[in-house]
Amino acid sequence: MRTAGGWAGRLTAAAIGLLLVYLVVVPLVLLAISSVRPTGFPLEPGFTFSNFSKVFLADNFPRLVQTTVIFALGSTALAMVLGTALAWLVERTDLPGRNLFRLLVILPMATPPVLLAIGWAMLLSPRTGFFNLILRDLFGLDSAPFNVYSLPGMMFVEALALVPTAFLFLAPAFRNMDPNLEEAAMASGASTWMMIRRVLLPLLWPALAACAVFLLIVCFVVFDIPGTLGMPARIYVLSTHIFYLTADSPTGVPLYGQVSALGTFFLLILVVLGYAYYRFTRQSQKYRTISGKGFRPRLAPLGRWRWPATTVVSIYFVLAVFAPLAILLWASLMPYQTRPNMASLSLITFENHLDFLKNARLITATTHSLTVAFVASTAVAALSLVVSWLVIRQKPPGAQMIDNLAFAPIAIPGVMLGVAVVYVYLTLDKVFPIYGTIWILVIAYVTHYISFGSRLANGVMVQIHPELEEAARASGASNLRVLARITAPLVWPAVAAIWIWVFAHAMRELSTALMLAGRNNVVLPTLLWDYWTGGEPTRAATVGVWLVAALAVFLAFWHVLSNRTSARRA
Amino acid sequence: MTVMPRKRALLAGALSAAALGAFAPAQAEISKATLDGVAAQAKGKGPIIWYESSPADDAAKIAAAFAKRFPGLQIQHTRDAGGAGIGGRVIQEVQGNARTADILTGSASVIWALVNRNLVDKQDWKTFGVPASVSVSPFTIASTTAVYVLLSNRQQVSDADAPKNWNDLLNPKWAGKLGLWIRAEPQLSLASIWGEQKTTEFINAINKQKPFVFKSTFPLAQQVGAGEIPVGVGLYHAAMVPIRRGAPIRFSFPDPVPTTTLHSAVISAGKNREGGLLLALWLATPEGAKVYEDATGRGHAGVEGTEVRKLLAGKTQAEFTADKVPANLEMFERFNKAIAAGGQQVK
Repeated sequence: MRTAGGWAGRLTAAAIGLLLVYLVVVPLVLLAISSVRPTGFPLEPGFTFSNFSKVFLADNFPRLVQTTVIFALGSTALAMVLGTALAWLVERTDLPGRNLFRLLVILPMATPPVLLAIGWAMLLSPRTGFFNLILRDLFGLDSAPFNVYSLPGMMFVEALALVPTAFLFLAPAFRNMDPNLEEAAMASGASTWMMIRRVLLPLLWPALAACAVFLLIVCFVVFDIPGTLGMPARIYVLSTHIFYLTADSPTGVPLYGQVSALGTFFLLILVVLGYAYYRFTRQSQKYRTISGKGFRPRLAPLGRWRWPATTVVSIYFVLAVFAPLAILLWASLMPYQTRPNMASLSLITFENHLDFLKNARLITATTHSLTVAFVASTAVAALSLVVSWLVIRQKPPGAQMIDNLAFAPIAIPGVMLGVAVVYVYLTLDKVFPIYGTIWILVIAYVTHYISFGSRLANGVMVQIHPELEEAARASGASNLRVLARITAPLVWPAVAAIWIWVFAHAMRELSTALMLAGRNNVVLPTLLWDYWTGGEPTRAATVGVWLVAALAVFLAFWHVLSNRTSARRA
Repeated sequence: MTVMPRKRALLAGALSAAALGAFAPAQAEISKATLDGVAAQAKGKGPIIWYESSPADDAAKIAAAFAKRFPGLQIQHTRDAGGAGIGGRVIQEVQGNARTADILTGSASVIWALVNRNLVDKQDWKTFGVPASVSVSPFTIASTTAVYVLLSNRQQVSDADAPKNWNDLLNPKWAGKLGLWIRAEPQLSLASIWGEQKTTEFINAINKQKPFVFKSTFPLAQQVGAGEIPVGVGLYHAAMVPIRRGAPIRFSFPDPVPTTTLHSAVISAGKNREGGLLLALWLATPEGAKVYEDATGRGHAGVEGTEVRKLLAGKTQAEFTADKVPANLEMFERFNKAIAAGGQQVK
């Protein structure tokens, strides 16, 4: 196996390395400088460690960390269980309607997490939650059985929001698994449980580990759901504490110094988790399942579990997709926020939707959102493929550093990334006048999402045996030609998954967009935020409904296109 | 940072040509001629960049009225509802030599952070005929007043039970059913009358009620309207948004009524500072204040004829004046931490 790559590989590695240094290291350096500035503003004078002492020696810090760890572990565990089960059922079994489920599982990604949290607050809030009221009436309960404004409530909603990500991580891994190995195990007398334990789980280990580590880190930095459901009940995690220090600072300006000091704590967590990740995936050759020997994934018959499994999956979709969307649709038809009941039916109005359709800012925001999402997702998908190819296949000098650089941005909270990017482009305004435009959003999103893209691409790349590429090289193909003609088509499902994931997330990204908001870069999430913070949740719900509807149409179109492409290839 | 003497002389010359009477120090109103004179200075210097917290649709109404009143001048509004973020944005942009705001409207604590960095123009407000009541500091001019009220849901709380004063919020029946803003702005204003000790005791007592805290008073009012939070302490103009749409929200004015005045400041690094000054002055006139109040629901208590002034008539208003804000920032921070920590001992 060629490891160091040719001159083209080295040149590509150098170019990618420089690009990543520019995208990732510069903001991290600003983060570090900010943490030792007395005011927290990187360009202001002075040096101090007081920001660290204020953060780490605060009385509430241990509890903050404890709550964050519980939230992150609980959400990740639940999302992993649901995501793994869904990926297996959809990709490797004869579950009825699995094509529809594959399409629907992506839909929650189109829902901005703030709206998902608002939807679940309307469904499970203690006094007016729709489900709580039904259960109280049904069973004659004295109090509400569920309270979404709690740590379990936050974990539940966060897990639902993360299931599509887990699915996108794991589905390609399930799809790319050679069924001959399972059949060989069964033919050798292994029980189903033994086959799962000895064959399936070890094969899936890289993807499972990558997915779990990724979700865990996301849960450490995520703001939307803890901010919407936790903060009102004073349940703080690290990200909401950062928001507090940024947006509600009592000194009149954001306490960026303390925010950056907390950012370094995130980096520490990343280093630990990153080390764990590399330990898990160190012997990746063991898990290669796509080789030169052709195979078609075999679907496991569910037998008598077919319909119970369908029912369980349907219940999941009702909870994860239809219930929150239905309550948002209801809210969008109301003049003010009110719970669904017969009395409220008389209040139904289309005013919000009509207003939405004739609002000139909407057209601008939609155009901006689509442009930003398209460019960012394409750039991340391409960059992830090349990074993964370099790191897993070519292994030129510095490959490890490239991988680390691509992974590092996940530890930068969106708010802090926004601040750092603002500084970079304010400084470079004469050369790159993109401050206040949509292009600064593209740069920030590419930086932010490259960590997801490279993890997913790596997870799939290690499953592909290099013998196909070696055969192409033996036939005289160059490295880049091998990448274009052999590797890229094999990892195409993962690249498509990256593209869809980044597109959907860029369409809904809020925290970074708010920090980078200027006079000429309004996008749909900031418009939605405008309505929400302006006391108009029904108009916010309306934006959410149209956003989800647009993405549903896009996903359906994508699905049809993929099927036609597959049919043509076949 | 003061306006450069030469620029001030030029500005004064232009103003005197337009309206000599505008400089009369005893005059306590901003005349049309004064505004037109400043407008003439602002023309040709590009749009007026305004950083402020109102929703964009509301700001668009203000910008349209402003453009109609001062043809040839356009406002470009940038919203930042986060409070602290709006000041941070100006600091960053000035440090990066990028185009920044010409005028910022925000709380005194935000503006003071800019004043301490020499980023705000010092003004002699008397020369523009600005009443002393709205310009207690040379750096700021009052633009609008946020008024705190006690909210309750009309369907869940009877008229008799509805909290009417501060102590009513301490009734055990509201435990776990009370909503507060995470920022201690109303508590800070109460301290101007109650003093720090009594206010701290009140915050601690409220904390025992396990209140829900909200990032903004807008969602707080929505939740009162939806019935999730039967009672709360909110802002009048934020509550009026769902009330106008029919939400069953009742409000009452406690005694004293805490208010937070939002001030405007002309940013020294702005490219159209005259435009910023013009907007600041116009918002302090009955005409500008009415436009702002009609668009945002938030009126100017210092200007005759506004709805909020009528609402506050005869009531005891609690608020520190802008020049007292720097001395009270530490107390504000203590209050904020106490609310965020839910009554725990915080350093």
